[in-house]
Amino acid sequence: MKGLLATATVLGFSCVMATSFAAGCSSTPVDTTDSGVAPTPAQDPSKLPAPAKGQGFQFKTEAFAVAPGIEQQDCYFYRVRDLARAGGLPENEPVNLHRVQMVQRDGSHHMNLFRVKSLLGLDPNKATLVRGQNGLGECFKSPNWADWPLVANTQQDGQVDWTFPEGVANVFQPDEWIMLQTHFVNATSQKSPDGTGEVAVNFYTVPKAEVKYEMGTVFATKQSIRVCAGNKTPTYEGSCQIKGKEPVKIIGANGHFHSRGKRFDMYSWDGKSIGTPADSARFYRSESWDDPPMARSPELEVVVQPGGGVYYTCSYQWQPPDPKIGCEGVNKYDETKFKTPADKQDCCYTFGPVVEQNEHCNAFLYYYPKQDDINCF
Amino acid sequence: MSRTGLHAHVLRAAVLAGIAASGCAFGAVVFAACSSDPIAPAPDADTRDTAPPPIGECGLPFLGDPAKPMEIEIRALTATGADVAMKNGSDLALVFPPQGGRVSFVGIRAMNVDPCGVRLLGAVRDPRSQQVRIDGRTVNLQRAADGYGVTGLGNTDVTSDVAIAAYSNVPLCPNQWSDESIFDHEYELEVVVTDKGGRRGGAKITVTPRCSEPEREPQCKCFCKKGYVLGEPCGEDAGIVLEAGSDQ
Repeated sequence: MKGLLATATVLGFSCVMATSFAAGCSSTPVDTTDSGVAPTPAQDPSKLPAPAKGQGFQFKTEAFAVAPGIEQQDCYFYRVRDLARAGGLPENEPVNLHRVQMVQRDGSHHMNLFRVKSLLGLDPNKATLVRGQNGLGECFKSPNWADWPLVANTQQDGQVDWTFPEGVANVFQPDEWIMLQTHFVNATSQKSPDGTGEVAVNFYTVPKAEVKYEMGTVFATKQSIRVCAGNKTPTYEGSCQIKGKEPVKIIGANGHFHSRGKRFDMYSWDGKSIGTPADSARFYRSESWDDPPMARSPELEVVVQPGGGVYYTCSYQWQPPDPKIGCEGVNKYDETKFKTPADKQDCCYTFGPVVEQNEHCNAFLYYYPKQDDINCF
Repeated sequence: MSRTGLHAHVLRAAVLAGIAASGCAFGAVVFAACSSDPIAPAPDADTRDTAPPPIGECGLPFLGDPAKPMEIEIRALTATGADVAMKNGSDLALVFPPQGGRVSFVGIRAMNVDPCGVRLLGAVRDPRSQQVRIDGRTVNLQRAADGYGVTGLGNTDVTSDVAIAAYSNVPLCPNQWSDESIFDHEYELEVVVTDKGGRRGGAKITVTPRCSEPEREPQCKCFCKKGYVLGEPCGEDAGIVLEAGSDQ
């Protein structure tokens, strides 16, 4: 696969896309204009103009089928050096990300970008595209990216165009890998209208001299969750410190759960108090699982004192499963995945990727200046 | 007196002593009904002894006497899944959970509590920096043979999602929060319990977390050490690989 990557890179940037290794190069050429004018995000990923040469780079998937009843989750890998070279940037120097654009077709459940760290079941040196379907495959196994820092994310609203505050950049080293994980759903509670998934991402960079602060990220997740018929309105609470010696500013936040999710709150927190912070400390609330607010600067700018962090809560309301699945289907999943014995099954939605029968409680945060990349689970 | 009966007796005595000595001071091993939240009123005296207690949505009635303060004993799971009482000086197991990292499974044994939909909040605090790690969740207590409400009965499979979900999964490692290594140093273990009627209780003790799974000790001591940096390799041990996975 390494050889394939090298070959594809030589042939042209559209072939650098990991998708191309499995499905052939995209037929849509990447538009690298020299206008220097930042493009407006398009609704169609295939039409998103790439940054002008020397100002950034684009990476994208091919258009792929998402048939009815299918949840498609694919993991694509890109080496920073290759991306920089394709975008006309010095390939041996760090990439300073200052603006990110993401465009997805309708039907996206989420799209996450991670910085690759420990290699377990996903290894870009072995495969730069790993596909998963309906909960199966390495791209669905969260331990594979348990210590991979978040880079950027979107959810159902596929359009993002976020310029970080002046002087702030997310810095990548040339030999780092980035994983693009895309999840499209064409099921009952969520549809992919045209039965096709596709994602395009633009990274706009700034010169090193303009970088005053490095951006850090926090990914917090509660995985031991159950929303059951016998415990219909559970709330899960968690916290995560941003350990450091100076105050930080949270400039991006979003929460993710599925259709039983009723309220996702995040609070600034002193790192020492036990219990939900006061309402005055709350900086994020989502009451819409399929259209969660994506809070970003300049509207969002929350100062957290040294030693503090974020406190988050996920509240649920149990509902009967889709009749096509029924409690039998939910219980079967619980038994198969978690080996829950029959006498303990209670029509529970458990942590997992399948929208119709699983739940989530995931918090994504972006802040500066970077103290560390942080994962709490 | 049976062991459990003795235990209950000691608990009640501790509660009474704590209240008598310090009112609602939290520093005592056990505190009860210390919140300013309203306490659920006691049932009418005429009906208290005659009407059967109403059954909650979890299939259990109120446990104990609503007129009395909540009694709380902290419990925790060992690495082999035994549910044990915790007291000052106890070891607290750092366990490799399905979600990865290292957690301590913290539970309770409680009396005078509505067992349905209890908010259980477990916390481990570094007494040097006062930094704390928290896990809160809504759980249904089970009724033990002695009438107490418990988060687990007997031995628990620490790899079973349904079993561990009833315990507070306090996430302690990777250590990106404490200035000291998590293992082999003293930390404070605290629980706060709130039932649906707004009745509150809790307890706090000093414990020593231990990497207590011999086959995973090196990885545990790597993830939990002072100064751990995310991404630092600790062996292939980021979590259990599930048959059907979990995204995000």
